[in-house]
Amino acid sequence: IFMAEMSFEQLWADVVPVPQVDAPDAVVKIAYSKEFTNLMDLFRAVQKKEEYSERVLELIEELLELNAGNYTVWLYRRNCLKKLKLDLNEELDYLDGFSKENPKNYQIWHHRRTIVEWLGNGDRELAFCESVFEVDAKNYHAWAHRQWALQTYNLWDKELAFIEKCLKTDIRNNSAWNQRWFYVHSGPEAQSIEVLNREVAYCVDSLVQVTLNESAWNYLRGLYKTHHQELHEIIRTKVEEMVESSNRKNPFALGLLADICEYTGNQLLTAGPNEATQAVQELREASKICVELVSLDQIRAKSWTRRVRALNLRADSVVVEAA
Amino acid sequence: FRSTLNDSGEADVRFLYCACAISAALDDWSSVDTDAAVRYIQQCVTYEGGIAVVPDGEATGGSCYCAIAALRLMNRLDALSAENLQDLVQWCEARQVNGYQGRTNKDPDSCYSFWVGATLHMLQSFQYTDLPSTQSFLLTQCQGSVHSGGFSKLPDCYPDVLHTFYSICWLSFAEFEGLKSIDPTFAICAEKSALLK
Repeated sequence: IFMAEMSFEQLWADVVPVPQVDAPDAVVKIAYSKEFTNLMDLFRAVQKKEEYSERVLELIEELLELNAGNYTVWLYRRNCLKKLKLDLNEELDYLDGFSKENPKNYQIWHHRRTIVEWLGNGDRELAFCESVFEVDAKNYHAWAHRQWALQTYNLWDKELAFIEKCLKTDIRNNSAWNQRWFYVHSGPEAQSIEVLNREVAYCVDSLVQVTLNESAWNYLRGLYKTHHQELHEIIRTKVEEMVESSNRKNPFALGLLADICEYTGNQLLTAGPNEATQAVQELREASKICVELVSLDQIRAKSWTRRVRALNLRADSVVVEAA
Repeated sequence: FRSTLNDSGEADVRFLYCACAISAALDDWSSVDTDAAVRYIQQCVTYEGGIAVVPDGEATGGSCYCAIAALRLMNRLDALSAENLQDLVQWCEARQVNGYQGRTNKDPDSCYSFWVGATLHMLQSFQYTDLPSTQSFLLTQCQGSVHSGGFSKLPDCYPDVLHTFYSICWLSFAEFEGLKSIDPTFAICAEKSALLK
């Protein structure tokens, strides 16, 4: 109350401001506002005398309003919080509000993470991330923060349901698909054959409804490459079905089938000379599909052409060896 | 050796690149544990074939650039297998819709022409991309016409220095007339980066 009666100048009358030390012939001089300069001059003085107090906190808040990216000020704020033993939940309240205005500010997210670590519990974090997703369902910081909170505080319980809710809202939300992968591979479930089959089924069901969803196709390819031993038959079957049902017009389905043929061919090559003929068959099949994609996916025509050439070269070299 | 981290801030692939760029410019690698850096990058490869900002994150064009440029500077492209590299090139090529998107199923943004285009350039694959579609996206959709020139992030947005710079970098890769050659690893003129070597 006493402080509120004083003007800002009176409050800081005892402090000698410290100007910024700029190089004498600085190449790109920033045109700071007078207000910013005055406040930063005070801040530098505060840093010098290592003062941690209420008035410093107020100063910091002003500075962060002017530039939320000032990581030196954020660091000093953390020091204040520690020295003054301030309530960390209130700090989270402050951050809840501040992040809404600056949802993509790296410093605020990092600061929040530190506060949560000091608190030692992440109870508020999932709900906080959800509030950010309401505005931007793909906010990278929020997803990274969520992953960190889930792992650090073991909050996995309702995560799969949350992911499915996100995907129901927008089946093309690639961040949600990425989160699903994270949940399955880093979460509480073991990657049993039941879980893997469930993932394939989820993916395929989704693709049957929305055939050109690149996120789902990438997920399916990921499943194939990471778990090919358990899943190569079922995925290959499903992909071939989707190639046919699209009359060989779905570029994603064809692309994945080409990947599968190439992958299989390469695997067979390492298996030994007995498999050479089949290996070549697979590589040639992959090449044929890529030829189709030259016309079907024209923006990548040069890339598909290059791939055709590479696959043919590989297949040719095998035949020479076998002879 | 210390590993590549930002001491009082967040740690991710961006700073790894910064550390490598600075070390390369000064020809002093004593502050970078290149093995740890390489391992970190490998952990950032995602199921989509691209590279994320942090392990387990979503693959984005920006982090692909940081990772590949860093590997180039460290001379450690061997960190990624031939299969990894093919997947990465495929992921990058798939980002082209007319301009480039930064992540799967997002709108194209002019600066990703650089982040993704430069990554492809560093992997000797830029020549397989479609030039007219991105050129058209940049020149007709993103160029500021109301006030001044410059390039914006998206069509019908205000232009800014960052998007202008990166759009011009892509145009340089595409050998647009009147532009000097750009070194993708440092995003500066090739003639200047030669001085760093």
